[in-house]
Amino acid sequence: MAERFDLLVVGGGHAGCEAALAGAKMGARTGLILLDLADLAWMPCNPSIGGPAKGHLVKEIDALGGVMGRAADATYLQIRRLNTSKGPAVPALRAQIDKYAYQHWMRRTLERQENLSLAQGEVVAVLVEGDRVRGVRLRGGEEVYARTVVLTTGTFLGAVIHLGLEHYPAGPQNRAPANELAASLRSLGFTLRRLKTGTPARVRGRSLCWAEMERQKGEELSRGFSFWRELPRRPQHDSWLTYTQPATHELIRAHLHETALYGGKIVGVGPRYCPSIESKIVRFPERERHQVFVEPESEATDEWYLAGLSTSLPPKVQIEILHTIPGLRQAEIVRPGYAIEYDAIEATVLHPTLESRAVTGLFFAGQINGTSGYEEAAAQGLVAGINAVLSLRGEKPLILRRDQAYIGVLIDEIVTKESDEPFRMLTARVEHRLLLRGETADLRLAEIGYGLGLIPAEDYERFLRRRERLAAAEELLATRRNPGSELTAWANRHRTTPPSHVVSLRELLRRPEIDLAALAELEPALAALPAEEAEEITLSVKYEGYIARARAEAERLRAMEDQPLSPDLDYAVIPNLSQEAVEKLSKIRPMTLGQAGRISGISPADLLALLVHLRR
Amino acid sequence: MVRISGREALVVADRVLRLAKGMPLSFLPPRTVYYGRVVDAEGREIDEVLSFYFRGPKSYTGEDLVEIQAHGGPVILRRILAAVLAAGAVLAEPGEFTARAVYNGRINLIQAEAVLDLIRAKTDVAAEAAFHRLAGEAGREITALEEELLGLLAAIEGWLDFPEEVEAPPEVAARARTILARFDALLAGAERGRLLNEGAAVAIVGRPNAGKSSLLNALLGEERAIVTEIPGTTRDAVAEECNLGGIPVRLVDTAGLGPPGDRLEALGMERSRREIARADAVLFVLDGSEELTAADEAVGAEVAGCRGVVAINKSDLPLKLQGVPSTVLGWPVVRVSALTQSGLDGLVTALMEVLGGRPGEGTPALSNLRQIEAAREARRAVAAFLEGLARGVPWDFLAAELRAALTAIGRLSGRTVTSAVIDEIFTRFCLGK
Ligand SMILES: Nc1nc2c(ncn2[C@@H]2O[C@H](COP(=O)(O)OP(=O)(O)O)[C@@H](O)[C@H]2O)c(=O)[nH]1
Repeated sequence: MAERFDLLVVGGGHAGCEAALAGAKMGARTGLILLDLADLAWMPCNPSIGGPAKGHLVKEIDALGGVMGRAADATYLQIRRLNTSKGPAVPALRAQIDKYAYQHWMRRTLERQENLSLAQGEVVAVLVEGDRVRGVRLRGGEEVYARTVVLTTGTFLGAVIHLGLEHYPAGPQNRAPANELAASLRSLGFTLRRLKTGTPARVRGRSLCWAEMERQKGEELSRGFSFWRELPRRPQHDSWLTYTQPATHELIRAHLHETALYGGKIVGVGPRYCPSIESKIVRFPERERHQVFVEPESEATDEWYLAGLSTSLPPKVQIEILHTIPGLRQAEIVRPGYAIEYDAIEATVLHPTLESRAVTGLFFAGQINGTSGYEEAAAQGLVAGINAVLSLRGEKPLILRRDQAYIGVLIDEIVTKESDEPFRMLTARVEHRLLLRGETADLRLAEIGYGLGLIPAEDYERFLRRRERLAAAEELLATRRNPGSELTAWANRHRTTPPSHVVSLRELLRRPEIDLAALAELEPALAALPAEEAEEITLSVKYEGYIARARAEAERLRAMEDQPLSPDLDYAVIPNLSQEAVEKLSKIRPMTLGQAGRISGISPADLLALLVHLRR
Repeated sequence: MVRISGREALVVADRVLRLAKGMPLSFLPPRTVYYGRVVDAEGREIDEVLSFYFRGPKSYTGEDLVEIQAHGGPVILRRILAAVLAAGAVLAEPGEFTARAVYNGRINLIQAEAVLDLIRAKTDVAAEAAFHRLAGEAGREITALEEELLGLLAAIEGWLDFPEEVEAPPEVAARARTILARFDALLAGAERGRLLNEGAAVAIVGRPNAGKSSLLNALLGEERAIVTEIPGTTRDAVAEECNLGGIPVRLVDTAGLGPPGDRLEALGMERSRREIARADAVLFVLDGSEELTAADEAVGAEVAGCRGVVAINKSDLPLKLQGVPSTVLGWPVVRVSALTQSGLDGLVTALMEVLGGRPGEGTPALSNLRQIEAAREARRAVAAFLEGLARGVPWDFLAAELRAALTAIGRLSGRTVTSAVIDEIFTRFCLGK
């Protein structure tokens, strides 16, 4: 049978959708195959997108030409800005999403996309010839051929649901798991590790007592996640905040032995940042209460999500527990919470392109790589889809640097560091955080997205104008010097000392009491800048010292990042490498000296030994 | 030899070097040897040195490279190093120079490998090296401060990353001020640490034949200086390094400070005066078997205003001396005999007290250069954090200062800031929806 696809994406979650769309937009004949078409772009856990670090990822996905930001902007139930008063690097949008609307939006977007076909089916094996991927085999025996394959199977691989002390093979919300594919990957030599996550019960809105909870409202915003369109106005829905009670904790303690984790049935490692309510009570016994956010799931249903109450207690205990909590005293559960264990590969077997080192043309993205979160998945899906196509063209892959994008940090972390818990993005992981503001994602990445063919020309032109405006404003600030006579009156008006010598507008802007609006009186052209751009300029001037330091640091590290390491380097023969270093480097096979330095257990002396060897 | 490499090498060098040419090193042509002196942060002269520099990329490391050659022993070298660090340089990690050299393609690889072998031999187990870097009471205090800083940073970072779940950290300024104060105490109590690591210089003075050379030898425990019975034979300053009470001390036996007899003597006097000016303390030797002479008074005049100890020597002979020169009235007085070695312990103790390095005193002392460096850098960053906090600098920028403080300490502890902070966030806060 002849080759059918250039790119075949297995799995239709957030990673799969981005991978398939990117591939198709780049002109590859793309197929997307998933277990159940109805589950396309599904949010089986919290229907929300964004927050610190995750919101940054969405903006970067958008800037590169991905779709998650557009989809979220089109289907939000509530949107808010978080961290607005903590500094320019950390503000983030968080949106509550209408999960069904989101799925429909994505389904339509995928169906409208040229070069892309969607199909339902269970992939049971990855076909490999020599060390190259050839396609996949579906249940029923059909083989689908493809030059590259991106696996984005989320939490379906070898999935087992734990409900109380019972467990049974099942994917999220009792969907069919993908078991044979797990076996196929094992037979190809991939080591699978067991990870765990969980979800809370969903309750019926009509059974809740709103008066006992605190209301949380959305904000009217004109910009959402996307750089390319204004945020559509949508009716916003409130979410609600309540707290667990001492009685809740007592009850949970009394039933702990009835959970898979504390009953000793779960072997998978759960994330520390998304623990079940059981773990919270065990790990933080001194806490008197824990937050519970009650969040709407969709305009189409009266199902509500209980953020903070992820649990694997038996359903009959779950309901008792809810009834101890204000607002939930009469709650009816429509879906119980559960814990789920699933297989993930060790992402250290991947190149930073997300291609497997062992099987050429086989890419991995999303939770199968041991990450958690829709945003993390989407970011990887986008990069995997792009790199799959670039590899077919024989072009240079897209590897974003750590000082270039959160996505760069995300992928570098997962392919470099071995971890035993699902990986979540945090701003604290980003050493160049000050240089990677969410608002500048387009300035950092749009050019790349356009170059790849992922951004339409008219959007890109608008971006170019924005960039030019910024450059012109900076130029103006640096060069414009107003006559002293004019300045004195101006300074008095703005309660600032009149400058003693001729100064540029830029120097005036450095004064804490002066903002761009004040300068616009001296230079009317500045008044025309859109608000985000005015802010951008102001920040770059006011915190110049910090930013310069951050840049210098990034530059200092750049030399190491630019030093490539061959993927087939024989580390065992390099003199002076420690035994541990030989083992780690042979396993992880870093692409650059910088990446090698981030592997745990690699010392400066090991790096020196590598360097000496390279210069030989 | 102290080597400074990097973009700012000349800036640092200009801060510590006072060249005979009367110009900063960076104004002068490279690859030429210049004579001059090294001064510390207070402008006190440390030693006479030869210095020269190379412009990058034509240097060993491929960067601007300054070399300072001192003729003094290890104590002097350590002091020069300390001055260079105080002027903004950072202590190189083992192999760092070589790595840079390799990087910039300036070094013969066989040489680099030889260096590497050496590093491997010395610091085979990184953990062990880190352990030694944080040994001692001061090390424990630094570790405790690292924990404090980590806690503070995690409180901020947790709040930045989990705005809906983590509350604004309370009392940030107060906590930072406490940390700052502890660093200050650590650095202030660092006098003994400074001495331990830089060493002290003690000038031995006294009129000819008071017994300076003998006492020096007694302290050294072996015959080094030439002892004669002709007054003024100790022509030149004889410097010896020894270990007194755990502190490396450079003892300088100065030439006779009496009225000059000849030109050679005059030269010696000139040098003696300089040694006195450089010294941390003076050991004034009087001959107890004779009465106070005009020569003693003359020496006393030379050391007026210095810190020091009076040693009344020759305690094995009957005491004839009554009183000491008025300029040294406040100094501790110890009776010793260089001949029988009696009273030497008391002399050492008195000297240590004057130097401020009494053993076993309350505040833990930073005991090596790396510790002092790390503490200084961390302190600077914490101070910048507080200053920014007062100015209303945003939290994400402020967090960068705390990270800088932790990075400085991380060079001792071997801890990577980012992963330590993330672990800390998860242990402290109950996160998750
Ligand atoms: N009896 C006695 N003689 C000493 C003592 N210390 C030094 N001398 C003698 O005093 C003379 C001068 O000593 P020296 O160390 O050369 O004195 P300097 O000129 O001060 O260096 C020598 O003959 C020594 O042997 C001492 O503690 N007791």
